[in-house]
Amino acid sequence: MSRQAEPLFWIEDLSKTYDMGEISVRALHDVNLQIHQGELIVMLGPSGSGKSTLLNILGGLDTPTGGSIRYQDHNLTEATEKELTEYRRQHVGFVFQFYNLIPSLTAKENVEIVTEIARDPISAQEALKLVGLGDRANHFPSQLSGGEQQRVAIARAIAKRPDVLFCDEPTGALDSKTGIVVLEALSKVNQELGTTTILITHNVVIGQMAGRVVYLHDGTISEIQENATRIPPSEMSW
Amino acid sequence: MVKQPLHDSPTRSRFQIPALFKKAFRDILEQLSMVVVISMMIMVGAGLFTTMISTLDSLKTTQEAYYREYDFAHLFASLKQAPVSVLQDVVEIPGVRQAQSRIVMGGNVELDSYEGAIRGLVISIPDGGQPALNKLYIRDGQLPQEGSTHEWVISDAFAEAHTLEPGDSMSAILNGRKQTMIVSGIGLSPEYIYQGNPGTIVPEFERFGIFWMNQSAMEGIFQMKGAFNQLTARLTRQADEPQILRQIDAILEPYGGLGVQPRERQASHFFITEEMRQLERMSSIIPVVFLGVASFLLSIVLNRLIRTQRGQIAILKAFGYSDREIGLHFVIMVMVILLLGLGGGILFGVWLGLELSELYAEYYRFPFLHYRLDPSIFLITALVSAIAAFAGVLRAVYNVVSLTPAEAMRPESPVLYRRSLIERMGLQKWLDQPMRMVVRQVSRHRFKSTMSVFGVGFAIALVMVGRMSEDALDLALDQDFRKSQPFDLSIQFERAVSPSAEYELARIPGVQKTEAFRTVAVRFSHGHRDRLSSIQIFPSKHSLQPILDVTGKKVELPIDGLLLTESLGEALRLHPGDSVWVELLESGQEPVLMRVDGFMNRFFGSSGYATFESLKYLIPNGTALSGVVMEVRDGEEASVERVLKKWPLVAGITSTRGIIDLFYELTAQTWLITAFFVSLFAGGAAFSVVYNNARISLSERSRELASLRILGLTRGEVARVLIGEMWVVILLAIPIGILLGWGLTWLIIESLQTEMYRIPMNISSETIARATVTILLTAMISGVIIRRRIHKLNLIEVLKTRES
Repeated sequence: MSRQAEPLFWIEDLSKTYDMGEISVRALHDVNLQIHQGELIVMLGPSGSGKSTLLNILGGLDTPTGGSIRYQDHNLTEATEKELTEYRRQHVGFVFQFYNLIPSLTAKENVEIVTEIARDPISAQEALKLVGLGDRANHFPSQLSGGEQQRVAIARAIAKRPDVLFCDEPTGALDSKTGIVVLEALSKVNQELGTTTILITHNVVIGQMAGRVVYLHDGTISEIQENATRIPPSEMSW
Repeated sequence: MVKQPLHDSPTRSRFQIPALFKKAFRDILEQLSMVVVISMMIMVGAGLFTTMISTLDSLKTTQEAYYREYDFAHLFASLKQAPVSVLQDVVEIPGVRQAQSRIVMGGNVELDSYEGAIRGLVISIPDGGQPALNKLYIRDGQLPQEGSTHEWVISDAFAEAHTLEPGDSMSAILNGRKQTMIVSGIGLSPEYIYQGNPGTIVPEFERFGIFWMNQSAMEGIFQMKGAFNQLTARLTRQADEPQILRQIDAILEPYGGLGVQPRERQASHFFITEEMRQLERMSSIIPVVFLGVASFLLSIVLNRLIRTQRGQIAILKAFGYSDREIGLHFVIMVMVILLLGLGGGILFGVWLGLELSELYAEYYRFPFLHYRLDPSIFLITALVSAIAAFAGVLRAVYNVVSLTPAEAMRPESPVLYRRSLIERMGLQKWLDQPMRMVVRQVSRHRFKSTMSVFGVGFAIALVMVGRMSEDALDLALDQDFRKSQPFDLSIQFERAVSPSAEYELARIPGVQKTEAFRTVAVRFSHGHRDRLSSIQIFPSKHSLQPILDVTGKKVELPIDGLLLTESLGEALRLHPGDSVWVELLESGQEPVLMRVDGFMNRFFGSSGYATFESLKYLIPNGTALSGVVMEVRDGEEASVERVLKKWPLVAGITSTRGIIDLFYELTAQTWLITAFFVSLFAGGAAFSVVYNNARISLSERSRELASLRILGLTRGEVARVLIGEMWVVILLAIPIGILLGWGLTWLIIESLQTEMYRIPMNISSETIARATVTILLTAMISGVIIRRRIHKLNLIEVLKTRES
């Protein structure tokens, strides 16, 4: 599918304000962005810049307080909790900074928890193989290293063949060597399966692997940078 | 045959347990100690419920079948003596379907193999046949031959107590004459399902028997040719019972009628009905206590589990699991606990129900036992337990599903720490840093701490409730028997005798002191209410028969006038100073009006009390005695009893101590077992609350605790933070638990009060001590286990993990 086709996400004047009793915190305002099928976008910004809030709204974990956001023909702005659940269930994969594996389930079972409810998943074993953990399937999270746990989380996120993969600081808790292995897995998924990938980080170096880098500052997009060439993670270092 | 796989999809080639289920099961395993305790609580609750309901059902079914098949009478009337022709007048009353006249007399029985005095109730049956009413169930042997004067059927409990068989013989003293009687058969009657010896609290099968003899034989022995002294009747369905009672009373009055008793007041029926009523009330309280505790613990566990799993729940939501699916997986956990408890409970309940029914069949003499286990019992048990279980977790599950995913992703916002009340009161200088942490931790998590305190409190309450009946009966027996009957032996005469009998008894070697009493059967009436009862008459100076009220205070009898038990006063709606009509049933004279001076509270029985002086002129033969109580020199009881057995007019000899001993013998083991199990469950409950508290605190605060270790605190000091928290909970829980136990005991006892007896509210200091010690022991064991876990805390690992 070409980049010029109808965008996957269409975001207009998006804002989000948190009401905390007496004070309200403006987390996002005037955000405009279009994301296309198959893109790998890195969102960069310091803590509190609103990148996680944006990711949560894109992923259907939260709803905006102003503006609009559309995914294909779904209007996420006015979606009900039920519709959001359905959206997450059918279209979206998540990878979090702290892996968030379920400690009482093995690696394979952690993946199965997603494949069981997906419409057209790849098998849990296959997903684990894709992230290079085919032989660790029956280990519990506590028996895996941080990098391995994060790769299980990636396998879990991609096993349902999501249309979009959201990664919130996926390397944040890892050392650089392990981080690169994880990023390679993400890059591989993006290229081989064509999964649209949105990755947030405050590590500028990681931006080099993206097609576009979106800079956020004080709750709004300050700059969008297009990379002419994408550098594979194996050639990056920090 | 070729086996086809169920599904041919490549990803799900065979049936698999969904990963969410696996998670649920593993979470259960993780909480095993608590799960076991909660399951046990449900098991005990559901089990007791099944037991009580099935026992009640069985008793009712058995009783109904027995009454129906053996024609149990509706009315019972006693009189001095009347010609048999009077029976015809009764049969002609509209509504009376059948009536049977008979002779009922007391007698004494002697067995070569038994030293003690045996009291017999001798009842006539038509020669060579069954009576029309209150038919006998012949367990062994047969009815006496027609015309036989030396054969009788003996009650089966008595036969069992002395291992008697048809063909065995014994001596009987009937109407003052000794004769040899042969056992023709062993029988039971619907009239004597409960066979209490008058004046005792437990059936004494060794000392009391019922004997059925031919009518002709009894007419001869008691010189009652063509006469009877008791009448029983069965009514039609539409009969107007109160009207018939009045008519029969009127017919029998000229013959010394002692009043007609409806079935409701027939001793055996009354006792069983009361027992069933109690069982019914207990079945709605005791299981609820256990299920309530289970429900409470379940809510603690689940709320905590959900709190620690916020992140996991968020992830599941992020993946697109619906609220329903997530909620359901917690529900599954509850279901597993519920099913474990329920399954065990029903098995336990059926077993105990069978045992208990058999025990009842032993205590109450039924010829057969219809053990009934209505399948609906299971359904009700399951429903009740499920309601209890889910009541505890609804809120927790609701909290989960109402979390929005993004909110759940964030760690719970840190709670605001404040200086605790103790510190604000300026007491902080008494606290070192670890103690300050403890105090702040407890006061910060108010809800959690309150729940824990109540959880442990309930455990304490449970131990107390477990000892409720023991305490209550200890006090009741002590007051009503030990303290108010300080005599050694009580002798009842066949009929009222001259006061000189007391002097003769006093001369028996070994007798140290005697005191007379008189019991007269009366009907009290006030307004339209009346009660058949009795008046206990004592000398104005009486020390062997002090009258004590429930508080143990000695009550002085009024010089003239009457004291009534409170239950009787309530039943007749009387107030102190009111007058009550007293009709003496033996004499047949007009009722007299007497002043009620006051009321006294007693545990067993309901009657009136007066002195000989006050009644001297009101009753004919006013100074005559019904019996004598005596103090006997130590060790000479048996020899005195031997002499008394030979006395012609002695109808019965009872030893208070014997009764109390027998009672404790019968119940002590049951109490011991009950107390053991209740303490075990209560200890388990307390342990799971206390231990899980600490365990979760440990995992939630491992980082904080590890930091303390790195800062140089010793393991012991770190342990103090957690264990200190536990002790604060325990110490708060003890007074609250005692209050809860007091409340629960009160609730149960209030629901069990009857007109026949009052159950005292008595919580002994031993009970409180036991409950406290159970909890302290539990706390110590928990402390040791927590300390061991803290010792294993790996500092580096802990600090590497994510903070939140």
